[in-house]
Amino acid sequence: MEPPAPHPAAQETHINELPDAILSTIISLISNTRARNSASLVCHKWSSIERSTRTSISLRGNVRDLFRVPTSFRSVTHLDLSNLSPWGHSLLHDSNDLQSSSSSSSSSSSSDPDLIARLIHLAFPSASSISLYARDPSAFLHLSPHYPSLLHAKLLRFHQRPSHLPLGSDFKALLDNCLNLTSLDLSCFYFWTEDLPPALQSSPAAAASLTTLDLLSRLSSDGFKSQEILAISFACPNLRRLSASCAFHPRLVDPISSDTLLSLASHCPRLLALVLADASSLSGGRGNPDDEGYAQEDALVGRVAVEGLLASLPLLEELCLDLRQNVRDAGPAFEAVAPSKCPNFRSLKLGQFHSIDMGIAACKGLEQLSIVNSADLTDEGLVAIARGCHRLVKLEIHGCKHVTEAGVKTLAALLWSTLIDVRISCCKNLCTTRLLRALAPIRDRIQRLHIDCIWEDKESNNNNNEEEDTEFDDFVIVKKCRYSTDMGRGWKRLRYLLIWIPVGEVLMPLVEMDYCLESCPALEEMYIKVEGDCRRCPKPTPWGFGLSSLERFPNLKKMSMDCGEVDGYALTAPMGEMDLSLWERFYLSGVGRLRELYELDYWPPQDRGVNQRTLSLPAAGLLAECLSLRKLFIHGTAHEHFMNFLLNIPNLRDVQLREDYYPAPENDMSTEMRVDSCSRFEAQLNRRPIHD
Amino acid sequence: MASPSHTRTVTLKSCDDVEFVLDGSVATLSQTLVSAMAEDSSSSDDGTFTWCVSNITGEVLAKVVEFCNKHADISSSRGEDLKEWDKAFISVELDLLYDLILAADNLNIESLLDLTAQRVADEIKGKMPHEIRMLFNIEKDFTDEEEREIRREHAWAYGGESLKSFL
Repeated sequence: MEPPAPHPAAQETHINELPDAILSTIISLISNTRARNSASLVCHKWSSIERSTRTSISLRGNVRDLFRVPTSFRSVTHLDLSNLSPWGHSLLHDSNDLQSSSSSSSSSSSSDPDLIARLIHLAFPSASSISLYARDPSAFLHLSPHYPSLLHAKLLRFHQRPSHLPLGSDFKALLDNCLNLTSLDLSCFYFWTEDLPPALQSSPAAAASLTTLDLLSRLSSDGFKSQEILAISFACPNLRRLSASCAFHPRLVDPISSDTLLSLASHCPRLLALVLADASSLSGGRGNPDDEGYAQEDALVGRVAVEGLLASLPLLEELCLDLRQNVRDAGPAFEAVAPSKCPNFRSLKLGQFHSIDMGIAACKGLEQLSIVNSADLTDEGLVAIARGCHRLVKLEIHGCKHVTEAGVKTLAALLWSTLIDVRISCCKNLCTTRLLRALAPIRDRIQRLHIDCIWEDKESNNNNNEEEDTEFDDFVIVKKCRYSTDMGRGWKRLRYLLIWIPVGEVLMPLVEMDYCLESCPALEEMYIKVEGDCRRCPKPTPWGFGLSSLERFPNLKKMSMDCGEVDGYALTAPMGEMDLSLWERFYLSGVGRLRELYELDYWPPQDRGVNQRTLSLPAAGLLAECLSLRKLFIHGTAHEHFMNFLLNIPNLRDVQLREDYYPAPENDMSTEMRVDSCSRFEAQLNRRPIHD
Repeated sequence: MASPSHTRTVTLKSCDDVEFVLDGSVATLSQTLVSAMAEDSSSSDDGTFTWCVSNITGEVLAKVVEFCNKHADISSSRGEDLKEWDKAFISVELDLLYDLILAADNLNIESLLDLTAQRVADEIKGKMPHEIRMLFNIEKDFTDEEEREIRREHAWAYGGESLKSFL
């Protein structure tokens, strides 16, 4: 029996009179760090409850100050050490191993790495999950002995792997000390593919306890070879989830073939998720939407592999085979095996698979589907898939040039009750207007949308509008659906929007043309990806890219402006050409008019010739106009005096330069941001008064 | 003895003597009632069971009963609709909200406890410490030094979730 409440209900109850267990439930429901910090400043009781329910922390601050790390976060289980400043700096350096970072401040910070590791363990005794920027093996060498029962580890490194290290030494300490490790995430870690097999083989206990292995790295160039995949899967027989970037190209040495996949399935029979992507599909660009759609080579993976995988992995829920070589005969395999052998099959991604529409349609339980570069996927095929997979929540179509507006429209009508996540890109016959027009009937249901911004002339679109509606016998559904959504106009549930836009194009039509995104009251996060070579671009319009047109989205709080794939002249533009500082001005102008913007990630454009991505003077000035910002992450380098512009932003709390691209600059030149100047800037930033 | 709760009705009596009659299947949402009925199963043959909740007023109990009736009725409770209904249901004054929490705790109704706790958490989010104190009428019992110390700790924890990847 519960004890009676201390006060009769007639009297007013005070929140602190609620039982502690309930107050602690309430506070544990708050996940936002800022709200948690606020709550812990209310009173002693709240403070202690907040601390005891905080389970994850992403530690910020300078590595130099780690000896002052607070010891009040004792309940933290997820400890993220990868974002300490200066970003990418070695956390626990052996003092006699300083050749890679020359600055003087690092030597003082790393006086005794073992002591620092001890302090971290004292402060976070219950951490079971650790993320760490492991520039060299020393970090885990010192840290892992303190965490023998670690369950999850994530390593990050965008710098080059030190070439003098023996194979596998990055993982040795971790695997030798943490024998219960269940998950290892190397998706943001640059290493050689031949590093991993010997490391796993020499620590069989840790390898056998691994259930999740994420090797899906866009950093590695070729991907894992057949022998390496076999060795890894043999060493880790209990894997539930395996993701890896692989070498599928038949002309590479030791490529992945059907036999590899069959052996893999026999080594790890309990796989729930198998994600294998060709390395070039992760790092490479989008491909040309105009070409025929077939690759030059056929893959060594085919019907046998798909049948074998599906038949020997009865628990399979997720399968991704994202290749860049043709697979032409796999369709019947899905039709024959998937429905009977894999009852839990939910998620499928296929790259460069042709003639697969009927095969996919037979997988009736699918909730997530991605089709990439299927050369012969037509509207009829798409409609067949929509009829078969009637539970689809998420759909991605990339590089399927035969898909048109009519197909997407019918699909939207068939799946209107479930579909909330749509990503359609690189489809030649679907310019932005047509795509948005096709999705208009379900626009009030979509929560996540990924589109390309390809503006076409309007006349050509309007002509063939009439006949398209009647093309399929789902006409009735189309009509019904349109009727039901006429009431709720606008994209009222859209929360995440990702757009891809070629270099030089402007953003305005997105909010101005017919069937545009005119009303998105819930939109809170946007990712804008610009891609292309601006050296071949005509001069852009003087009034800029048009970020200010996003003003009309009242809730836009986070934005990622990714110009990382824009290539241009850093400083050496020939006569008549613009260099990157002017392009940055083009892209960022108007950013100050986004009054709600709270967090901005910015990838400056690059000059590949000199491997330089740096913030220019106009860009720094424009960013400084963005007065509502609290967090700013620049994925590149910058000059110290440009960074000082940013101090004008009154509420800015968190600025970081992240060189999270490969290869990260080893030693910045004297003109750019060095460790010292970075620390100076952060000290200035943190010296300012904090209001909340 | 096979699940007697389904066959009978339950009478809930508040501290100010207001009575509510619940269907047995509705009462199963409350773990407290389920275990009380299991203990009691020997006695009443007439299929009724009375339970006095000593510290809940009729006004609060009415809300609780309304919630249970809605959530036990499976035919009407479909995902989105139920969420909308919950949202409207929980838009109440804080005082009533506390009483609902205590009642949900007392009767051990998990879904109501979750809903009410979430409502309070939403209330806390996005507010400054002094705003939270004002809203909940809490007295600040920190010394300046203690407050500075906590702020110093937060300097290590102001970074939030890492960058969400769309791709």
